[in-house]
Amino acid sequence: MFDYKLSSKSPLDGFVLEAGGARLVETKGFALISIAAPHLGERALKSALKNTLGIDLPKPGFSSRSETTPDITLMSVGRDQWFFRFLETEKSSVDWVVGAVGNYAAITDQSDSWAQIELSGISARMLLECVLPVDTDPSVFPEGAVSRTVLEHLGVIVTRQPNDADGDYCFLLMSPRSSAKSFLHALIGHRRSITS
Amino acid sequence: MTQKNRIGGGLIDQNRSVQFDFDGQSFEGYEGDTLASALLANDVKLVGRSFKYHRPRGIFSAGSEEPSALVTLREGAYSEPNARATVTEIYDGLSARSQNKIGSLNFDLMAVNDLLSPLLTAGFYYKTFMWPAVFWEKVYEPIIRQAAGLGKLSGAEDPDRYDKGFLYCDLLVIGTGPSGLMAALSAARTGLRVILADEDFRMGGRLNAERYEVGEMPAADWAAATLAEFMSMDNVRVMPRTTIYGAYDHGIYGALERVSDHVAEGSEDVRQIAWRIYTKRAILAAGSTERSIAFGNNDRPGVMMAGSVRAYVNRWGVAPGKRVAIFTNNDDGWQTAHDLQGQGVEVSAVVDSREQTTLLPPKGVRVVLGGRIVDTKGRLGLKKIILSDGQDVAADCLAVSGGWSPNVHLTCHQRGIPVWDDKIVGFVPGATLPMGMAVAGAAIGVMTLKACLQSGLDVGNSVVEALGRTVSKSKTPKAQDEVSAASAFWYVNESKGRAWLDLQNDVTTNDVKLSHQEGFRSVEHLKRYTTMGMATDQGKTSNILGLAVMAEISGKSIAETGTTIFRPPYTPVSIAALAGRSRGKDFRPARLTPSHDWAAEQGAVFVNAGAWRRAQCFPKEGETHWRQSVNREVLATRASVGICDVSTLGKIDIQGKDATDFINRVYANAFAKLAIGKTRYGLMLREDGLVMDDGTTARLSEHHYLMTTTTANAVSVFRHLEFCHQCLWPDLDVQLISATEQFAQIAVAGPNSRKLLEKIIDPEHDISNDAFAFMACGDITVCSGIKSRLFRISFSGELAYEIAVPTRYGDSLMRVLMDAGGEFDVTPYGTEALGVMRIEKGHAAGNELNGQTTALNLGLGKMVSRKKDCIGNILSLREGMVRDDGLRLVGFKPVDPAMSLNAGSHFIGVGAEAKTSNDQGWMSSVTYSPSLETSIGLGFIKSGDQRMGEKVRAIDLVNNKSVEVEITSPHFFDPEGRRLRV
Repeated sequence: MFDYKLSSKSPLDGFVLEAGGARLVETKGFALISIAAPHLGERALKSALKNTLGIDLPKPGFSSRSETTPDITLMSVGRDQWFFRFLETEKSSVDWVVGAVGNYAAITDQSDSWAQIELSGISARMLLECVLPVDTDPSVFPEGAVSRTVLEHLGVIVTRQPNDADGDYCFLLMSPRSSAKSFLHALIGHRRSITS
Repeated sequence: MTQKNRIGGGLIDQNRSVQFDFDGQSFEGYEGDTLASALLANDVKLVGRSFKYHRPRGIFSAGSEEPSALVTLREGAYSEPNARATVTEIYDGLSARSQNKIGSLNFDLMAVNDLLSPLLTAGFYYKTFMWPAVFWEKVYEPIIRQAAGLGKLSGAEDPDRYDKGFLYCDLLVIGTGPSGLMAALSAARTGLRVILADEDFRMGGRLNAERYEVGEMPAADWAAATLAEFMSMDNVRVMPRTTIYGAYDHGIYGALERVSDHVAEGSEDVRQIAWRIYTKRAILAAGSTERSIAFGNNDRPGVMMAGSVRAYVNRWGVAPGKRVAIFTNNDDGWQTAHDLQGQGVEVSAVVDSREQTTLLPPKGVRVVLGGRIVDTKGRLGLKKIILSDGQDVAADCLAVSGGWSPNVHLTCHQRGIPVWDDKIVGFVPGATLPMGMAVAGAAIGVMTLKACLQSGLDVGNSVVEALGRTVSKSKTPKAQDEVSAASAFWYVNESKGRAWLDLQNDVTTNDVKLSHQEGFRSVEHLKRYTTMGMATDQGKTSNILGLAVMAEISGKSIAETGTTIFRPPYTPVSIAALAGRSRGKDFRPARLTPSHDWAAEQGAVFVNAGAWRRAQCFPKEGETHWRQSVNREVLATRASVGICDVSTLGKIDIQGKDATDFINRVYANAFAKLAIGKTRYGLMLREDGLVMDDGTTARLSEHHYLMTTTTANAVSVFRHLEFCHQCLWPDLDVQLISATEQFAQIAVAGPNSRKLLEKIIDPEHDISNDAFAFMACGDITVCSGIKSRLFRISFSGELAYEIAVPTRYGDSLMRVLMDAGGEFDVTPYGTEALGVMRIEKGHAAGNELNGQTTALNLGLGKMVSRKKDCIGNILSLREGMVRDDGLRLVGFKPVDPAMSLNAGSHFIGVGAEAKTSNDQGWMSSVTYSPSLETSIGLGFIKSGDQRMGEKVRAIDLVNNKSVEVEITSPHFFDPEGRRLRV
């Protein structure tokens, strides 16, 4: 019997940077589980989600939070497709979702597919305007809004989070894991970046 | 040198002195000066030489329309040619120099061109350099390029940084003159999100250049107060130094913000930002541009636009001359005379082409009604003007006003055609405007102050209403309308000297006449034949003049003659700004494999595979050539065990009740009966029957599959599947998602691969040959419970597996495999060894799946199932694609084993001439096989499968190499496949 252990590595090694009125943090430990509605199955999925988790199936461009477990969010990311996001526990994240709505959706673990970065602070919007083709004005991108687009040739899912402790804007940016370092460079390497 | 022409006043800060150089000489200006205003203040009038004839040229205007005063700014790698002095803000240490000369500016040797001008008319190149044809590229063009052109690029890499970005608004207001400010006010006060942009560093447009009153205060003060209000509003973004250079689809505008052009080079900030502005509505309030009148030698330094002369006096406190004459065809020219005299500058004459006017001249100024200027004198600067009656008038500056042309440019960017307006004697925007655009003020032909304010308010209010808001109670401030009668007078026919239209491209009235005479009469032909309006200023001051001359010669009206339209950019935009920060390694992002850091620690050599950086090989100490490393990696893998990160292969998770049916339709070979827990090789065709991609697909459960694709086609296959799902068969119950990033997948290959894996796979999973046979797949756990997947597939031809763990464990898995594999001398191998082994096995890869080959070409014709319908099935049966003598993928060995092979070689029969008609096919992949100790290759040759043992020549004409080769089976190594089934 051998005793080899695998250790876990996050896409950005726990990157944290705070400067120039913005805070950029790699958020670790969050599961991302894709659920996709089967053909003609959205209505059944919707009621299953409501009944088992107390969460609404969000409309395109939005996310929703569980009424019973506020730490669970569900974001719309594509045609008939949503991502659960919640803190991972010892128990398998996929199994947990399968247990909740397994009969109503195709379920795929995406937790290791995305680098997750939270950007907050008074300069957050100014930083984004040089890279992100999304109107982040609160009148059109309110809390819970989701946009899936491209940032510097890289796919990105951006979600407006609740404001941070100082009342400033907070955004969750998710981009594919393999190019996470380029993604980070795109965020901090431009003119209005928090490092310049 | 003192600023002898500075007359005081203006909107500059005379307490803040600024030192700059022009052609090596030091000058002083003030904060708020442009290079042009500061040079004029220092009595510098000659600033450059013209494009073609090298005629002395001065400052012609006071804005971005400038055709003449082009200079090179800054030094060395920072230098920027062809910058307009009229929009260049001076700063301490600015260095500028004149351009397009040989020798000094005063004695330019190239001025000889002016003496040759009778030979150098429009169409000169087309007529002169016809013979001999070969001379064009080698002789004529280099000489012409040397002689022509204006400034020169440094040739060094641009050291400045540039950026780009995205802005959004309800309303974009373009221009901040009276109408722009008023339009913005009406919208901003309702809470709409407004962006206010102006190319000038001091916003306010003509309000800064005139002596009018607005709101019972000086117009410039009202502009400043209004801008201050905007600055205090959260819903307004004020962007000075920002040119809206293009109107694009769906209300998107291109904007160039010059962030640090006005500070010394080497600033920490970026130089410029190219913004893309997404708007719901836009109001074009770009004002108008004054045009000239053509008369003999009207290009001398000192001949300027009248409105610009007024701007220099009023805004910059500079007298462009000691004694100024006016030549006008409209009321506005007279205002210049009044303003000059009001500032104590002598006005030597007002020459109005009209026979009568009710305007009163400034006191003591000579007035010539019905006047014509036929010539000017002064080699390097104006000294006097000659009237048609032979009289001359002393003047060192001539202020010319030929009327004002609305700046309709952005209205044309989506094929809008301007229409002629006889009342203002100019083109105004046509009925078709870019979506969401409205036009206000002088840009739409409203030419007086009070009316412009009202136009801005009205158009602003209409936008407010269109966007569903309640109109604010804003009113226009108190202002007066000035006199503005205009007349159509374009050129002085009596002139004997050349009368210049386009000062930047040296086009004269004679050139237009010649164009007409030679049949180039359409405005589009006129433009191209004479090059009028084709320089960097795009003919802002000259186009209408040229059209008018053509119209008159043709006996048509200007409306009938029409106009060329304008395209982006409004003013020049550097390529660097458009590129933004996408330079060097930032041009494209990089994708790193899960084991990248580990591979880097091992000293791996990396290779770009699309966006991926993959380990190509892992050189060891003492290995002096990559071939040594690759041979070692191959032999070690075949002898014991090797590991390779193959995470880059595309992985597509496919679920749904109809997943089997779906996969069976997209693959050419049969998939309907693939058992759960099994993997199958799949061949995907395009609709046209050619091979699109290949890979393996594993059936994980009844309705759950994992498809793999080649690294190169991961995205295109996923896109193809989405298209099939969403467009072709929307009724199938299928759910697709990419899982490429989710798993770190490591190939473990070689006779000891099973033994190695057994050390890390949890013992409850039996992977013996009986329990987990070739092509098996299944969920397993490794290292005490980590959920993983195992596939028994082989690209190397060895007993082999691919093990997939969640990506977070990828780096660790590589280290653990190396640790556990120590007893087997486990060897990491890179893409090069992977390629060697696949060629030894005769597997097709990107070189063979090049988008031009069929399954039959690849020797996989029997895989295309005729028992089912699938994409590409029908068209793969086209006559030309199923011919018996078609290309077949086979192997090639050099007859002399010591010879190497070149990929890309073409096959020619032994003894046949190497020409296209004898071409039988090409070599697609080659390698040195350490297992066979010879070079081998894969390639396509006609009827290859029937020609085993035949010899042909592989000819590489590029490298002048010919090797005799023997046609063999493509399966060089273990052709029976025994090694992978043990």
